[in-house]
Amino acid sequence: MKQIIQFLLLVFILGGLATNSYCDVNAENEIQKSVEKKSKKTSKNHKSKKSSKKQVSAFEIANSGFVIENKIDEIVLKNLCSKKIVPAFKASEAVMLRRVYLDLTGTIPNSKQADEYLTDKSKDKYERLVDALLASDDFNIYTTMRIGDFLRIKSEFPINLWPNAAQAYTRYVYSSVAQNKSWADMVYEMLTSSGSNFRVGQVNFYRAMQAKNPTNYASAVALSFMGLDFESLTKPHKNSLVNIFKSIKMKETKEWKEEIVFDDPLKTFSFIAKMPNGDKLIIENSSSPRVEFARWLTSKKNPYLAKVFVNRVWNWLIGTPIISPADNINGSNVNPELIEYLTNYFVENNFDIRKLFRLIVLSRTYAGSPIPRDDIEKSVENFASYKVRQAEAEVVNDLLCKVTEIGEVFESTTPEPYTLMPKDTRAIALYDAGITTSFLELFGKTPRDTGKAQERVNAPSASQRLHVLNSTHVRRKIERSPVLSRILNRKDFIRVVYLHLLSRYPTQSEVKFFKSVKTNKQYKNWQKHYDLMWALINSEEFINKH
Amino acid sequence: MKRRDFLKISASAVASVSVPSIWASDRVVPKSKIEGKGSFGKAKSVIQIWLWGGPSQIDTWDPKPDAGYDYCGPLNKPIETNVSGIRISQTMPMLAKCADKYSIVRSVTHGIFAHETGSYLVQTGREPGRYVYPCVGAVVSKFKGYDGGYKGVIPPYIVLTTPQGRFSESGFLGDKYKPFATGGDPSKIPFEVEGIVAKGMSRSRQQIRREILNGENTLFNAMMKSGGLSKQSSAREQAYNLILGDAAKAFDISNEPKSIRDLYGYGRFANSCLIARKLVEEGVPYITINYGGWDTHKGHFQEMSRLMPQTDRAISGLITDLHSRGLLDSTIVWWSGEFGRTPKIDWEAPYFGGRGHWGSAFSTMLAGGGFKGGQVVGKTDSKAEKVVERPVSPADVIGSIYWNLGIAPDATLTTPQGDVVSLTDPNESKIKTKGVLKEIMYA
Repeated sequence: MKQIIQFLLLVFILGGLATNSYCDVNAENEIQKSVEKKSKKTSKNHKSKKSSKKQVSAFEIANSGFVIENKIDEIVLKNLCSKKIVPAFKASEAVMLRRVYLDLTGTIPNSKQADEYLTDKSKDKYERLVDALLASDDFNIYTTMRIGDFLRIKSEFPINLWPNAAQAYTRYVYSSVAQNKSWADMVYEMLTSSGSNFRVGQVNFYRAMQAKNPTNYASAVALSFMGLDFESLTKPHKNSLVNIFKSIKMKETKEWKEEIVFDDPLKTFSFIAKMPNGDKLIIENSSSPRVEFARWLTSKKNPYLAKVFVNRVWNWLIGTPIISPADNINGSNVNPELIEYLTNYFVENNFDIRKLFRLIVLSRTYAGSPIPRDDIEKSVENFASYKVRQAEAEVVNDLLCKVTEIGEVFESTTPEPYTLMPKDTRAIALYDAGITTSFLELFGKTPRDTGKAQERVNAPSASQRLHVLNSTHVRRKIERSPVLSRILNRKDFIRVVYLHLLSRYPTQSEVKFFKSVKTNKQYKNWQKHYDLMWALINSEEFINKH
Repeated sequence: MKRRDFLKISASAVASVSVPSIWASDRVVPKSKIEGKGSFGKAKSVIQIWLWGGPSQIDTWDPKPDAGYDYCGPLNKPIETNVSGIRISQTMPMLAKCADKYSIVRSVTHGIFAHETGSYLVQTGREPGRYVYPCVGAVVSKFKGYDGGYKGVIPPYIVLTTPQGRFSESGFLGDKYKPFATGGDPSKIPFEVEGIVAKGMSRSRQQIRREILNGENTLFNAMMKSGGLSKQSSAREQAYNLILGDAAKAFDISNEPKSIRDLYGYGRFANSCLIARKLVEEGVPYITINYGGWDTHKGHFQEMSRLMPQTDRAISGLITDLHSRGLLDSTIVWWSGEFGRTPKIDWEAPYFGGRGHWGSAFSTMLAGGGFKGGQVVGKTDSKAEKVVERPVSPADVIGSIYWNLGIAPDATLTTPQGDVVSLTDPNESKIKTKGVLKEIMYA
């Protein structure tokens, strides 16, 4: 039976290809019907079939189709059809609310904002929400953190930027993002600037590595801005890149740990630099070959700059990159047409970071349900469903602080004099990878030692779960939280606690379950309300981006 | 190949090997090649006593009574141990009575005077450079823990009580090999091990909470069919094994007889040593006791008189206890800090009798797990300032520990960049040494 359906599907697709380049809508419905028939057969004896259907509806809009919102969706759907992967349903409004808040700003709405959004009847509320989030300061802070990861902004061993310089560098990135400076301009500035590491933040690009020499500069440029693995380049390409950075020198001043980055005025360079794509840069009597290089790298025709940035951003938002690993454009490419389209879009729009984010989060692809309708690995890899994944360490930390309104103390005892961050600093705002806590380390915060995408580990572990389940730290936060105890005393406790913690209303079965816990004699005098809040904080829905 | 030749090869192990990625794997050389050779594989566990800040060598293992008051201060009368010919500082009378159980290395040197770099060097055996190497504990948690068939519920790498914080214990190995830090205060009973013992929470309430969590875990239940959250689920199951299982008992010393409590002494450090013994009994391969307070720039002798009695009693108690339970042969006890302290005392303000950092020559102590007792390796000059005989690098110490644990000298690790590297490289050190501590390993 399955084979007949698949044959019919093939006919539909081939028929569709003759007239337009993506699946016919009918074919979509056929896929859906066959999946439902299959699930009905296997779940006949599944007792909780009814309740699981109800639970599913909190997260997605049942039987919603794959409605094209922009070109991204056309390309993704074409790929799904050709690989015969069934796209997931559309995510529910509540899921989209929480998801886009987390993906753009690293935080969730408060209960009032969630309630207002969910009761708003206007059709363009999602788009307006996206624009509001992109205009918020949280977007600047969160994006700075993500960029800081691959720029390796760390004041101590093994990067040794030194705190003042790490602050200056972070401030540079932050103000650039806040001004919506184009990515090309930022990279140009980082590559060509000279001056003090304390006063010209962007010169720290050349200081943020384990050892300062032209080979490492070239390697860092290849990783951060070109998406290339320097070690895998041919010898002539490597030599060319290394030669580009031979003019760079650094000297100290009388101020403790200040360094001036500059080009050696006594040297001139003349050579032909061979770029990995075949382009040749003619360097003639230049004391600053890095300027020539920067011009080439940030030009609209350059095949590297836009591509790797677009891939990184896609990975940040959707959870899996188009090319894997996220910082290597020569990795395995799951959708070449998609990366080409996004790259061209980014270049044509002048490397505008916000425009790129906006395009992606307004697509239907981004709005997929977390629940796959096909094999989950294939589904996630091809963007048929949204990848449910643990939020970054800083985001998890800040979530716990936000919902309990109890902050954390951040400090660094290296180097002396100690660094003490102001009260209630958020973890996503930490300007230096060296300022950390055991909680952040536990949840996989990147040490920013190499700047590689895989350095940040968002995988779940037993120790993390143990900590959220049973540590004094989390327990105290929950039990001493002023806002949580206010919620406890409300008559509409269950409605508000779900809005506050999960940005949605509780389902009927959840309300029923809560009432059963409340009246269950087995639960004695224990603080049931606290245990219910504790359980929601420990649920997968809280700690993951879904 | 003779055993001695094999040990010689270990001293000149290749630093970095480029192999095609299909071969690059983290492997221990098959045991059959080396098993049974001397002390190889004798040790099952390590108790690392990390004296944070850098303990003085001249006031512990390497006394120099003839150096004069400017070097000895009031501690100028070293004592005989129960091994003829070996004298140690008067600060350790109890350890003097069991010197036949441990060996002293007086000639460790790395020339680094900074805490972070020194700690990194002494705990990884590596010079700072291209990679951030994992420390011994992380390597052991890999080869004898997670990737070595360890089936215990308690994590294989425990830190009492907080991680060091000056470097990444797991280095490029990543989060999985980070230590489990107990947190809490071992001087209090019950010892509230973070995450395992929750104050005032009964077992039955823990179980009820678990049921509530299962009922409220809506997204998880919705994703269950697709298997999308299976990793999260198994992580949670493992966590519950720790909370509701028997793991908590390993950290509980309330049932230890008074004779044992008296043997170790009382207080935070003493209790930590006792807990370490219990963890060894549970099969935990690596335990670090991070013992702070040794960075005695000011008021050095006052600090020593405060710290040494409890330190002396607890460590001698630990060694004695392990020995009487038949555990010493399979348990390495490793005493060390990141460096030693300046032999010439700083009498002036603001130090008023303090000692600075000293990375040119310092001491370490090794007991059990295949290390001989009653030995001294190496010599310093008359002022404990310079090594004059048998310089020992951190890589040598660590190579010896790995050998005794059954981790072969050419075992490798794969970095995130895909490069295959060896655990230590004795050729990295600027100082030429004779390699691993064959003198105190059973040959």
